[in-house]
Amino acid sequence: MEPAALRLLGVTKYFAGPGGVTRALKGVEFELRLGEFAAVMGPSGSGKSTLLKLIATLETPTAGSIEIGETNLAALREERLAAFRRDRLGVVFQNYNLIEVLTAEENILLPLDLAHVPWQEEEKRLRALSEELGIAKVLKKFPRDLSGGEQQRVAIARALITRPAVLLADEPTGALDSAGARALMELFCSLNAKNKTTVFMATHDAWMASYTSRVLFLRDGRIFNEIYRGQRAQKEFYEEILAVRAALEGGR
Amino acid sequence: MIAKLAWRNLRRQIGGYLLYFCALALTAALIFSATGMLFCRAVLAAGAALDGFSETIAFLTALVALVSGAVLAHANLFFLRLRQREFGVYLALGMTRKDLRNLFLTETLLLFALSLVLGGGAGFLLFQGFLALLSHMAALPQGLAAYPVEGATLAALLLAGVYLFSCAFSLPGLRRVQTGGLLQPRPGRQAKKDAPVRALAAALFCLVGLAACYFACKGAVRRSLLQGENGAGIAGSLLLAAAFLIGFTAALAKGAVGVLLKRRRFCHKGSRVFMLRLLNERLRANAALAGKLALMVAVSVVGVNVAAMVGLSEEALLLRRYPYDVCVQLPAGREDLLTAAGELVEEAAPVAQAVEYTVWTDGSDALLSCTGWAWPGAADACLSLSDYNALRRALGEPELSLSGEYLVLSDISQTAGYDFSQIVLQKNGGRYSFAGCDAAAPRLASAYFLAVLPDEAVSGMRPAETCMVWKLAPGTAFDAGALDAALRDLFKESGAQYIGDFAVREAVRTSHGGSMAILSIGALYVSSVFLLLALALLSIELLGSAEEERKSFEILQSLGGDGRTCARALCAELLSFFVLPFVLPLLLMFPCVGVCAVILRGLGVPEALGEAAFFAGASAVLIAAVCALYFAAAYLAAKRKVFGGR
Repeated sequence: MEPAALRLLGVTKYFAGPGGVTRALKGVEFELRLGEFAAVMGPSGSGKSTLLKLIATLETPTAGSIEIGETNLAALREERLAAFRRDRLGVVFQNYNLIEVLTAEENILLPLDLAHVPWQEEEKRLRALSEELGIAKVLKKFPRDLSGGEQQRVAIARALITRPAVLLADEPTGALDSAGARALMELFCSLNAKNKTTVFMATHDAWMASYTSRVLFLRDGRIFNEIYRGQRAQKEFYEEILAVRAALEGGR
Repeated sequence: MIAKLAWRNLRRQIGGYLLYFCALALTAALIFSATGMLFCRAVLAAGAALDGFSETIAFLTALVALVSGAVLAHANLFFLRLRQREFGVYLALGMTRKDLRNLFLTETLLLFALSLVLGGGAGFLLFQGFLALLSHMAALPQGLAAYPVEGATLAALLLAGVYLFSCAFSLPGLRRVQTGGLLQPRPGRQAKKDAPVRALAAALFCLVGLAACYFACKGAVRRSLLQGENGAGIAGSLLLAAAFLIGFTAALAKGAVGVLLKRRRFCHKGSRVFMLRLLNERLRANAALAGKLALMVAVSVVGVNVAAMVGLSEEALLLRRYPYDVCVQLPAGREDLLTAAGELVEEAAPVAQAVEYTVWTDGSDALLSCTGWAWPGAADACLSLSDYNALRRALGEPELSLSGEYLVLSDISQTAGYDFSQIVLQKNGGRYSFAGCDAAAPRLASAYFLAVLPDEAVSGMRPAETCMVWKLAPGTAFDAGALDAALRDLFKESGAQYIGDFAVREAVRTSHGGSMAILSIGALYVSSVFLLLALALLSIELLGSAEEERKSFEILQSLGGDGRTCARALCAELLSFFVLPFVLPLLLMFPCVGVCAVILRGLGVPEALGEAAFFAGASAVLIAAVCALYFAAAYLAAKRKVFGGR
């Protein structure tokens, strides 16, 4: 069995707002194996985004611990946390989050710049990755001149350029049309199969979730259910996801 | 309802752009203090000594009001652009355009009222400060003065004018607000063709132009001092220099970072590329503004330099020009008046030394005809060498000897520009060739142009004027104003006709000091207002786009930029943007000192140059320090906006 790439133990997150305390997550626990491709689903407000932000170290949990590889995130101070985020995590967002004033190439290389990686190494990685993602021709363009699909692939290249332990994706297909979304999921599948990249994705689209090998369901800040694809065909897995989701929403 | 909304909006805006509003209130305060001086009794009482003061201050205040109006209009348009969506929402919620206009007018009216209250208060303090400076420079009685009501009224009226002017310019911006804009995403940054190399070439061209302007200006100043050329050359070269300065700064803003960005290996280090790209966007979007700001700062720097030079050259110039405490010049045959004048001087203060001398003429105009100011019937005036040496002895200067030569002596600086070398004077059978020219000789009462000749050449000429100079016992205080008035009475024959001419140095000091004070205070006033307005504009530009940059910095953080890296990138970016309009104008102090050197040398007081240079440097450091402080505040405010407490 592969070692754990990501381990959450009793993760709880409260937000203090003007209307009192909101509990976004309550004691979430799960493990992701190295090279696993998993999705988390749930209705709006179920805590998907919070969960991803916690794993991406953009928020800190109120209680519980998150381990990525051998590192316990709670043990890291702000600066080390930023370095950890830069070197070990790749994050892809729904709205791509490309920096508008930077060219595609500059966007992709920014995490390596921040890590002070030598220029030759930067060039080498960029060449390999841009060929693989089919964006070699658009590297000099600014995000505003790229299509949605191209922007998302640039964002993925930026997330992968540091060779992260875990690739996190928050609704990565949300802004794409269905053909673009399918192409993106196939890209994730091939990255996962070829490079053994661990991918953890939040989505509300059952068909997109059916590309993965495991789906976690979140409701009211707790893990409600989880299902594995096993050896089943994608269509079958998709139907099971739909069934669980119906139960999840029906139970409200 | 609208009033409530307007008040809330204003509070929010002041919170966000406090620095801008502070600079605005200070400008209002400066206008208040200036108009206060226009009507201040202490200033008015100084009367003749401060001739031209009111006109200068009134003109400068009108100029300041006009520039403030333009700045305010620019700022209003800027805020309207930032609040485009907010106004769109108001429209979508059912407000009419009339309501929008009322809302906007109420907001600006509240702001206007606020600036009246704050500016009036701070203006009172500034007014006392300016007045103290004026009393110091023009030797007026010191003390707190009541702030005149007329001044406050005029300032309020002027500010109202500024307010109306800015409203008239910004209201059309309100008409452009569309609800449709709400459906579209925020208008992105426009793709413009980047041509950094061409822009840098333009900057270089402008720099060369600036250097050429400097030399042209220096030449024009020298010509106007020596040959009495009018100021058109100076004004022309200054205007050209202003255009080149704007062009240089704007071109540099367009090109400098772009050229750096082409060097990929240099850029791909840390957050450098991120910082440079943001800076490039900001600079390119604000290139024209940077040029205008540079001009404003340059006006400020030049103003401070003028004020310093004027103040410093004053004392040296006075001593150089009036080495004798009192001098009198009378037509020949009025020795009675000379005796009476001598008695007046002796009554006023103990006399250390008195020298009497005679100016001779033989009716020839050989020398005068070489100058530009000969008139029909004019005759050369001559001074004997022994009289000249007596005058020199009184000043402790070595005696001169002339054999077969003559010397041209004048206190008119243009004299140095004429060529007398070919002129040989024939007097009493002797021939006298040109030995030299002193065009910066001390004043002997009125302006003069004399030939110093050996005694034997002068004998036989008829006397034209009888003159006398006095040196008073050192360290004695006397009422120079009273002596001046007594001499005036003595020499006044009928009506405005004066029979002779005279000068009392200490009286000249007061009136001279007055006009110098006008120049100095006027220059300081314009300097501080322009600097303040430039800082106000920069701060809204910095803070306004800081909000836009928030998202970029959030992404940088999510990619692993730690707090320090992000803060450093923001600081480097804002600092570079802030510094650009200041660098060249502050460096302008060097050419300023160069031109000062020409002026001081032309005035015959090169010894004041060292101090003038020191003050120019000190004022540049002071301006830089003020800007640094302002930047620190602007940076902290921007940091709060970008990182929002995280």
